[in-house]
Order: sequence, then structure tokens, then C-alpha cells
Amino acid sequence: MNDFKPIPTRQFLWMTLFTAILALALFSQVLAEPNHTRNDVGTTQNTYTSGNNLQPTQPIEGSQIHVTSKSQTLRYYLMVSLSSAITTAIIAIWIAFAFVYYFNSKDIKEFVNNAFQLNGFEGSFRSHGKSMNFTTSDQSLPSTFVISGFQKLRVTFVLPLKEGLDPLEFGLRKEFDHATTVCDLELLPLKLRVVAEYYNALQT
Amino acid sequence: MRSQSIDLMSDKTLDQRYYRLLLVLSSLEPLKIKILQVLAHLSPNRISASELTILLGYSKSARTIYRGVLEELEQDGFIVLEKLTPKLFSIQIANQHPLMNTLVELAIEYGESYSQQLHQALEERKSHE
Repeated sequence: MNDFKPIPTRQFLWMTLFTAILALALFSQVLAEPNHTRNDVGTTQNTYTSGNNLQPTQPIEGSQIHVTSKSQTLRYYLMVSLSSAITTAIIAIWIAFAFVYYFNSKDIKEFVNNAFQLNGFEGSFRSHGKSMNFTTSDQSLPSTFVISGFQKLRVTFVLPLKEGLDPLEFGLRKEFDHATTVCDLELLPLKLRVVAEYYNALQT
Repeated sequence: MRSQSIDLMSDKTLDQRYYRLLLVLSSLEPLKIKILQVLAHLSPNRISASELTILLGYSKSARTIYRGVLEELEQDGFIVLEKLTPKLFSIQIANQHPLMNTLVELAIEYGESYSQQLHQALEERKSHE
């Protein structure tokens, strides 16, 4: 029996992107704090209450002491190196994700297509989470299936109804204007056997 | 009475039913098959979720059957759940379902000893409590 790894969903991609942007934004904010001068003390950044002994009586005249150019350079190198590290980590995660997604999708596609073919259906897996069509080999009775889930992949079939034919006799769920059934992806070939039996009854 | 009704059905229809039952059961997860097997042999009795857990061979505190398995079986129409509280409910196989009806008929016809074992296990559990 195939042991499929879960497919990372779109939410995973968005979460990775969001986290990366948030991390970069926070980091940039830390680095982008204005360089304080001695004049800033007790004026704009820190508002001391009156009577506080720490408040300077007057700014030191003629001494607009900026952070030195050495500190600026250090800050710049730190910013560049940390940005590079974060970007590299994000790219690595995305490449790993792309590999897992590609090989996993390839396996699933092969497994699903084989299962359909073996049971006399024409259908192919294209995308996770989207509704896909399948028909009988003579192109009749078009129906849909969806592969969804994160930790556990599930297949949902939506099948037509026929008057006088009870889908419950085939272990299917009866909805308003269609029949449905759900199974784990591993059990797809066996569930398709049930669906094929139902289709035989639909066609007779 | 039940065996008489079986006799009335044509062999072909009966075989078709058994075949469908076999197909449907084989397309279910192993845990679901075990649950249906136990419930069919206890039919028409209802049992609690903790009793079912023990009869399945899990410990009393196991949460295995609570993870959506019973709800899915109910949605398929295979079992009937009567929730008294969110954590306390009684479970019974759905006798009205055509496939489950066949399964129960088979269990009654051929599964007497297993049914007795299950009832005995339930009684022993009750006496321990």
C-alpha cells in the first residue's frame, strides 16, 4: 500500500511568505532606528517627567554627536549579512518544498491515474484541492472527484443518481441531487471498484 | 423468520448483495470494518463509546474512535449515534441500511459464538464496575 506524504497546501506557502516578510520587516525596523544624538536625550525620544534628576539641564552645546562612521559600517554589514542569511534560508525552504511537492504530486498522479485506468475510468489527477472530472471509458456519466486534506489525503467522489437505484446499496451517501462517497487516498483503488459497480448499475 | 425471508430472495440478488457488501467493506479503513463487525454482532443492542473502545481491544481511555471515525460512519448511514452529551453517546448499527442489514443477517446466522463472546465481555465489564 502506498504511503503518501501530505501535500503542503497553499496555506503553507502563504504562511512561509508571511513569516518571511514579517521577520524581514521586524529586522529592518530594528536596524532602521534613527541614530540618536546627545540632543535627543530628554527631548523627542524620551519624555521625562519634570523633576526627574536624570533630565539634562541643557544640551551640550555644539556637540551634535552622531554615531561614528565605524558604527554605521558595522551596522550596515550586520544588516547585509543577516538579510542574506534570512533570504538564503527562505530560498532553501522553498526549493525543498518544490522538490517535495513535485515528487509527491508525481507519485500521487501516477497512483490515481492507474487506479482510474484499472477500473475502466478516464480521469486524471491535476491539482490538489480542486474538483476534477472523470468519466467511464465510453465518455458517459461524467462525474467529479476532489483530493483534499493536509495530514491525511482524502478523495471525495460526486456521482450521478438514477431513479430507482438506491446509492445506499453501494455504500454511497445520498444527497439532494447526487451521490457522494469519501475515502482515504490509499483506499482509492478499492473505492473505485465500488464506484465501478455503481456505474454498471447506472448503465443497465 | 429471518432465514425464511432470505430463502425468498433469489440467489442472484443475494449473491449480488454479498458481493457489494464485500466491496464496500474492503474499501473502508480497518478501524471502521472492526467497528461495524462488533456492532453487527451486538445488534440490535446499543453500546456506549467506551464499551466499543474496549471491545475493539483498546484501553478505556483511548481516543481512537473519537477522531471523526464514528461521525463518518454515521454520515455514510452505517451506524446510528445518539449523543446524550458531547462525550457520551450510544452507538447502534443502522439496521435500515441495506448493506448493514445484510451484515447483521450474516452475523445472526453465522456469528453466534462471537456475539456471545462480545456480550460476555460487556457483562464482565459491567460487573467489574
